[in-house]
Amino acid sequence: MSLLEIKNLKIHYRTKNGVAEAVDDVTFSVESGNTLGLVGESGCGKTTIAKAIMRLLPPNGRIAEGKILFKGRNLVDLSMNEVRKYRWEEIAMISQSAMNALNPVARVGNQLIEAMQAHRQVSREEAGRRMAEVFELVGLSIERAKDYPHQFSGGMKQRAVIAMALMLEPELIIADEPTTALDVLVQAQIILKIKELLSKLSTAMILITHDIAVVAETCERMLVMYAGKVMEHAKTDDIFYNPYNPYTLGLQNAFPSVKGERRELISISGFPPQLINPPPGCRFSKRCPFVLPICREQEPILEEVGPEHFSACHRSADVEEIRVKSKEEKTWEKEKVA
Amino acid sequence: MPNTVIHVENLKKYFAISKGPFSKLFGLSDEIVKAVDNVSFSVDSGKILGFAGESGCGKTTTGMLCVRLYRPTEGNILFEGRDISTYEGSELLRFRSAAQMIFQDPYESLNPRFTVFRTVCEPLEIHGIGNRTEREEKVHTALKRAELRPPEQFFAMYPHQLSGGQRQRVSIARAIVMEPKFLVADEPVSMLDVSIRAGVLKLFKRLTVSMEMAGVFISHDLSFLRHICDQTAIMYLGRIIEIGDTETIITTPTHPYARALLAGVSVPDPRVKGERIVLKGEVPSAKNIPPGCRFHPRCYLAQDRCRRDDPVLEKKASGAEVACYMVD
Amino acid sequence: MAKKEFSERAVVFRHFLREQREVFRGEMLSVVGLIIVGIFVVLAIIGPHIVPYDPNEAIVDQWGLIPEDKTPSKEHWFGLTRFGHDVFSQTIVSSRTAVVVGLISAVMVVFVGATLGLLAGYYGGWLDELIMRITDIAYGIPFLPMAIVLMTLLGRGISNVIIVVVALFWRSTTRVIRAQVLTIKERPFIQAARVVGASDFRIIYRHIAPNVLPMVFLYVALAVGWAVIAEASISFLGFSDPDSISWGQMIHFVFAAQMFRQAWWWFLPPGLCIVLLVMSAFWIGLAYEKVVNPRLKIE
Repeated sequence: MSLLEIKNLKIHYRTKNGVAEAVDDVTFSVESGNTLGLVGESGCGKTTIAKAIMRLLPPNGRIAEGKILFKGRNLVDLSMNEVRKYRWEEIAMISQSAMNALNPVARVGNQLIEAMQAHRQVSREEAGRRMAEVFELVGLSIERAKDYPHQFSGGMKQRAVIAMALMLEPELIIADEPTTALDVLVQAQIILKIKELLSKLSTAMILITHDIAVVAETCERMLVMYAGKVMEHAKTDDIFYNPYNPYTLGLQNAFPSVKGERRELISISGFPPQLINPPPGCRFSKRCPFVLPICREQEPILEEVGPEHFSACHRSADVEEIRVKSKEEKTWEKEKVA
Repeated sequence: MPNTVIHVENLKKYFAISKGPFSKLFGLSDEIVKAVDNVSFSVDSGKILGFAGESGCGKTTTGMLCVRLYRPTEGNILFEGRDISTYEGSELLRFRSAAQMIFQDPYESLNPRFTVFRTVCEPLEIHGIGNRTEREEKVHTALKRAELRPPEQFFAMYPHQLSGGQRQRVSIARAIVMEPKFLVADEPVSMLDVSIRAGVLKLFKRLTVSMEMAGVFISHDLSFLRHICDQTAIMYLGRIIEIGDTETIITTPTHPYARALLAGVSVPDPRVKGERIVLKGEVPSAKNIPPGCRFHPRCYLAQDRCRRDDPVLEKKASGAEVACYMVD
Repeated sequence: MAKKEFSERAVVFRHFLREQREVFRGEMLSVVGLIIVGIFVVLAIIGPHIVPYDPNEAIVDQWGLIPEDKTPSKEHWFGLTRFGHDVFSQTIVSSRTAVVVGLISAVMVVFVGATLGLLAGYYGGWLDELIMRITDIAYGIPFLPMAIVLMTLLGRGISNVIIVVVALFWRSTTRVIRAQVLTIKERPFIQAARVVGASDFRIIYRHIAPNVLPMVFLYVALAVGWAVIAEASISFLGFSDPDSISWGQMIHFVFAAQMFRQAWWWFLPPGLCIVLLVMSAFWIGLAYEKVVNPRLKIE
């Protein structure tokens, strides 16, 4: 049984202009001890899924359909009391700019201790011992436990937040853009630390980011989302070396590299569709250079195109031709501008 | 024939942080933040110089000094041969019609109450360029150059009706409407969606060449520099520590900090397992710059000489200019 | 290619109207407030022409005597005052005073306060210190005692009431506008305006001021409330303009005639009108408060 199974998940937001279908029919699973990179641009729904798993959706959001199965239990059905039990104990989340999640007027060490005591009946000593353990795990020196957050650098704050997530030995950590706000060298350090932790502990992780390079380095599997839908889902290697979905190809073109050959940087023109009453067919059809009439009428279903490799595209059969053409700049040139 | 548009010499910008009106009574002097500490470079027409480095290295301050949003503490900024570092009043205003800047945040760099037309037309109004009809034409041209088509459609729009990429293009249109000779872009794509960054970057490059401007591109993301900058300067704690041809610096950096920086960049390729160089400690505050070579406390090559003497930029084997005693 | 000349002004005006409509969308209370204030404005304009009786003429019978029974009746819906005047007519005509004083003072209070706030916030330094210290002093001055002193010095009259209100209420807007200016000043579009060559004046009045408009509108709404209460208080104390009627003045006469325990029909109408107008102004303010502080918005 997979640790986490998302089945046909649909999440809607109520807005003054109508209902936004932020996540539409998303299905994937995460095995124990594995890492999944959830990749996509702003508005694709990746953070929404994370919030739904933690039942932290804002008041105007709701899980319209689908299941979130964690160790077989459907989290969608649970009462708030039951949710509180699994939150942090079994699934922990590190949110974007988590550095702001630290209480500025409390000492860092205390915050970790209190986080633990809020969930379990433990003495302060026990919690303190666990705190020392996680401090070491993330590479923070224990003397810093008595400091306040403003005395920590950006990288240290991020480590502290990761430490807080590890306090209760969760089985799954959801990290939402853990390195986005950090400088290059600090980001490198945190990524190294995350990799170390993942190999040491048996925690599974969902890493949410727009940066495919970070996923390339840390995740075994990768899932590409666009406008609320899953576009492609496979082993990270397969996504990079055997991509099927035109959006994945477009995304890869947009990521320059400091190593290797200097590639041409190519943009995808246009912008994502609106999520309120989305147009029929494939949500990427308006911007896809390989669009066919069927793409505008019928939504492609996520189908298996290789071993544990899924893509949602009507033109999966033409993948060879598509891969070649997508490397050329003129393929992606269109009138409408982003 | 290279035509140097901007030439900066020994530029310094120090900020004094006052410790309160009574501090002098207690013998506490103001703290000095050396944001930019002796920086020199030139940019030719049609070329782009990139500034890279981590936060606090002084790259944004340098950019703002070049367009005189700050006044230098010391040093010269020669624009088309004339030193503009002390210009004020009408001289400064005239300089502004020839040197412009694009900012990082597409959501905040446009006045939310101005229409696109007003935003792009304002520079023309301020400098008294053209009559009503001519201004409309210039705005039209600027929007077209920024690839916002059809331009007329955008005249009456407000920023909140535009996407991030479109807003950034409006900022570009505003910057080029007076046909400046010098354009500074401060992290112009960091806040845009990944798939549209390339378009805006290439626009910047195209305009630099077609409008014969000198460009400065500031970015903390090293991967983009490779694609649009002819030359790159890497900054650390207010100083340029390596400067030269972009491809050279990105693929074969010389300075130990530059090497660590480039080794630290994640690469979108799962099979590339680069060696990471881990530096000791953290970037010191610009209030307390280490003596000698400012990088020596964290440097894995540091020797005695590094603790005493402050290296200057010298041409090394790779062709780049590097400020380091320990490398060739 | 023949192009119609682009009319920036028309676009901006239409956008402004649309924006104001957005502000009031879903705010039932604020719309009600708008309607009630609207009714009072209409009464202020046409009041004197539609009232059944002259508010200043005593109602007398064939022997020139004021009726004994002053309670409300079919002919006099709100009854009569001690002096035989029709309360209903007086109440209606008093709207003019309230609206004139309320609106004019409110606009001027906010204008003075906002200008000082803009200058203090933008320039900082000694100008900021100076303006803020003057504001502090202004805060220390108690309203009514000072109002009495000023009215005694200036003499009675509506314009003097307006002067008094403005002189004592500008202080509230300054600090708040200044705080807003401080945040707006840091936004990149201000730096962009500077880089393009905008002068300080242009930045303050074309860039910053329009962005504090919602706050300004909020304070105008609140200031109308304060001004109406202030005028009523001043009139109640006996400093009203003898040539015009106001609600506060009416209540003043009730007390002066020592009839407040009996003549409920005489002070209730003006009292309720004051409450109604002030509440309506505050309700309008609610809509702008939501704009100024988006966190109050519940999606």
